[in-house]
Amino acid sequence: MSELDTAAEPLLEIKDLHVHFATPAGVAEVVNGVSLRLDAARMHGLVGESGSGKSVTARSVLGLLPRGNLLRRDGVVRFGGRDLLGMDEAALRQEIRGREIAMIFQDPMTALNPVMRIGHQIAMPMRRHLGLSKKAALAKAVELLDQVGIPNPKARLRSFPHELSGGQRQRVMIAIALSCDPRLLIADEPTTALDVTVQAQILDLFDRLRAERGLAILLVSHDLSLIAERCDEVSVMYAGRVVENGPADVIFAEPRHPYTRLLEEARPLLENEPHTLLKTIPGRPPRLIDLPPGCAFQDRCPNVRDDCAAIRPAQVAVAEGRTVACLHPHEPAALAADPADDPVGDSAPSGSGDASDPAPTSRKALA
Amino acid sequence: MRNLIVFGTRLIHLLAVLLGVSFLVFLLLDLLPGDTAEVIVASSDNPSPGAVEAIRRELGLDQPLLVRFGMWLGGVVQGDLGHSYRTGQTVVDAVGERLPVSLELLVLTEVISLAVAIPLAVFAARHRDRLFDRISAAFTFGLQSVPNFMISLVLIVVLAVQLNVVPALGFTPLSEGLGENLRSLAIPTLALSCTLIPLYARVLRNEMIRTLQEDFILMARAEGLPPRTILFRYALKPSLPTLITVVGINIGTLVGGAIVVELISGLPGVGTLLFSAINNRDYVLVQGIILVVAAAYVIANFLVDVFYTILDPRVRA
Amino acid sequence: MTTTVEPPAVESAPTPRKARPAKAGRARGILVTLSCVWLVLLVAAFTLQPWLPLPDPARSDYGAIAVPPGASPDHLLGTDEIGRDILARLITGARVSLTVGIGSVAVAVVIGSLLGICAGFFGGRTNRVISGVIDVMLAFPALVALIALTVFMGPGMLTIIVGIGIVASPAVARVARSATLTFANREFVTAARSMGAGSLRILRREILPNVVVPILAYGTVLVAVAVVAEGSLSFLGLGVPPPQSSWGTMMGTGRSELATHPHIVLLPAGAMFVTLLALNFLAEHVGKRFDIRESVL
Repeated sequence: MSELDTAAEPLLEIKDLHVHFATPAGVAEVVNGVSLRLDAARMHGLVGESGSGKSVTARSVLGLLPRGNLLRRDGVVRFGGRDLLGMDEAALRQEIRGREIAMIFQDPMTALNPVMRIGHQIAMPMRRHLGLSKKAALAKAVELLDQVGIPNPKARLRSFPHELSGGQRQRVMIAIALSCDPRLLIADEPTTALDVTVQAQILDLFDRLRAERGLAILLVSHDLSLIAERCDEVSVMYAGRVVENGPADVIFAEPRHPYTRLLEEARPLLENEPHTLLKTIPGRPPRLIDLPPGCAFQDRCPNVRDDCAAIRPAQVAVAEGRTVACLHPHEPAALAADPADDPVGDSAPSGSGDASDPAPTSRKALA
Repeated sequence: MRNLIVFGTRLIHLLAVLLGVSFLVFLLLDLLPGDTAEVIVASSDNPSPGAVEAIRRELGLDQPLLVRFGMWLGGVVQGDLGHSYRTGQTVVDAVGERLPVSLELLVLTEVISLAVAIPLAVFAARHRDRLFDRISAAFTFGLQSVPNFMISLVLIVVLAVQLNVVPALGFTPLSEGLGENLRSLAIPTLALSCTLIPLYARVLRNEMIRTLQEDFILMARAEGLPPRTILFRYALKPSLPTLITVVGINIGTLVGGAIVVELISGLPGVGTLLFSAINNRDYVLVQGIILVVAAAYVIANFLVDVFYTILDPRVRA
Repeated sequence: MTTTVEPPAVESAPTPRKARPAKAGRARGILVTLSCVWLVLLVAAFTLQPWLPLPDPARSDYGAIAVPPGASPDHLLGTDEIGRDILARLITGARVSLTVGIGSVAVAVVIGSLLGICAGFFGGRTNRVISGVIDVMLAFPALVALIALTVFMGPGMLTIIVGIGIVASPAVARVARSATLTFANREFVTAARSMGAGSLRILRREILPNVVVPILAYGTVLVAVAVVAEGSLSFLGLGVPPPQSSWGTMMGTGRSELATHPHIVLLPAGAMFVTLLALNFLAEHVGKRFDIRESVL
């Protein structure tokens, strides 16, 4: 493949992914038409509240969903040109998982085997996928531990997980993930269980890995600040859908989707005056069993109009590499005004996804 | 260093329990209705009026309780558990010649029980709630409701009488051939295993199902490891400690069951010795045997605890 | 520019998952009913025995030795090796087994609760002493302890009931102790104390009602175990002395005829098996209701 081809084609492409589960209370539409793309050596953040479907999206890439209640799983998941959704379990296991795509999880204490020495845990994928002997794999494990910043790696091989600190365990998990030199790392809430200083170290490690190995990272988190500061691109998820997509700095500087805007405003900043009231988003996310037709955010949206209840917005490109799924997104120019009476521009500049509605009635947000 | 301290504490606890146990066993002779010396004489090989006095002196029966206990304990520690008043043989010798048979039965039973229960549990956990799991659950439930002597009897009827594959009674020592030896132990081992297998299988299955829901299993799947590796090296190993605990708790049941089963199958083990002693009213021998069995049980439990620590590194911390 | 209208979600409701629990629940309900019916039948049988048209269980009919079931109209289930009617003996056996089963569990629960609640409530030295005693008691393999007690104290129904009760009490004590510990430290106890309630009152009103549930749930598991213990003892000839007999005794004495007349052993074996199934099933049902984790005696 020539350089040009790989540049044009994304490393990971998700298009219109749907994942539904059967529950006693009804069908939970956990992922509802998610699309995003990720290129090599980039860090893409997938951010949303609990229950927004981000973890399930991440796991769908590797086919790690629980099989029991799965009702529907379709769409397109393409990695390096290969269709992952259509692959059978054996092929996924032998060719993709741990080899091309690796995944790390939130709590390193429960994600590491408590009764197996960490040297062996790191060696396992190498022995299975690369056919290395035990000795060779352990030798490589020492290198990996060193690369992820664990001091005294040779001695550490024989340690058990409970003998290490939280940050060290997370690094071990990263070492396991990197062992077969994958091209993509999916990190599901990798820093949530760690304290802030360690968080920064782990993210620095991520940056280093991207620079040294060209590793692409899909970072799933509910921590907005983290994503905003460290990721290249961001997809904001709400109720199983991607509501906004684009370069991180732009998205948070000028959020177009009302949800993104409210999220950004709710972020407490160090520069705020003391005793500033924390802004919150009124209401609660909808139940995934009971999604309303139309936009999922309509009940809480300050920009809501009549058509929001009937028409579900699609992801529409509003600028280079940027999409928004909203019928009445914020305009870049209108950001200076008070968000409460922010009228949506009917005379919209190019690219805004506006329903052709001559006289929109604007409804005020819930006070 | 810390391990040594923990070990030491456990050892002291062990000795305390052994002391308590020996005291209780010591008291048994005093429970006998009537005059102890006379009762013992009644069963002895030489019942004469002078014998009562002799026994009273020998056992120190007119001494205060604690003094007597001290004397008795002193003797025990030196290896003197008294002697049978019927045959004259020392308790230690009598038990010693029967012990290998009982031990072989016990060890064989544990080995077979684990060898059957573990694969059963792993398979049931892997295919939980499907046909195999449900059938084996029902089967193990039924088996648990059958006392060991019942299984033993049924097995004798089926295997020995009807099908004639194994002998119903008797024991062939190892010296006369491994095959025959195992055949003579077949029914008692099978009967005892049937009481343990359902329990082990159920406990391990439940524990494995719980383990399989842990995050590190998901991580192992994400690493692309083959299912068999995940099942045995990632799921089974952390689930074993719970099974070991259950094994330890059930050694007592096993010992009790072995006694009964030995009797039914006519094995020359410690169990049958106990019964002939009971039937012969050989109370000192009975007391001695009970002491040996109880002490062995306590020590066995202690060893299981130690083994558990080796198996589960988290406990060492 | 373009907005898509999402087609109405036409998802079929997930029926397969729901149906299975309901069916299993029904099957379970049937088994529970059957278990209760069997046990009630046994109790009725041995209570009404004097009025039932059956031969005297202790009387030997020398003209009808080891008669197989169904062969003689006088003896519906046949006779044993010395001519006693098996059906009649099965019924008296039921009385012995169930009486010992329930009686010994009652003893175990009383002794065990006393020890366990005191250990859990008073803590400190009391706890250490009682726990030490429990450990020593548990250091004896159950059957060995029972044999020791019955041999050295002499046979008899009372000895057996008390003996099994004593041997089973440490396990009950453990359950009682841990249940008490869970409750003794809760806030409502501290609240009661602050209102001036003394220890005894707290025990009676706050701790006891809560602790009773797990103890009784454990007790139901013990009944089957006690029946097996009694059966084993009787089988070994250490159980209730003749002329009373239990199923275990029947199996023990009938053993000599095992090769030629297996029914003498198999009939009481069957009765015991069904009874144990019923008891175990009910115990598991009760346990599930109260979510008690099973311990093993």
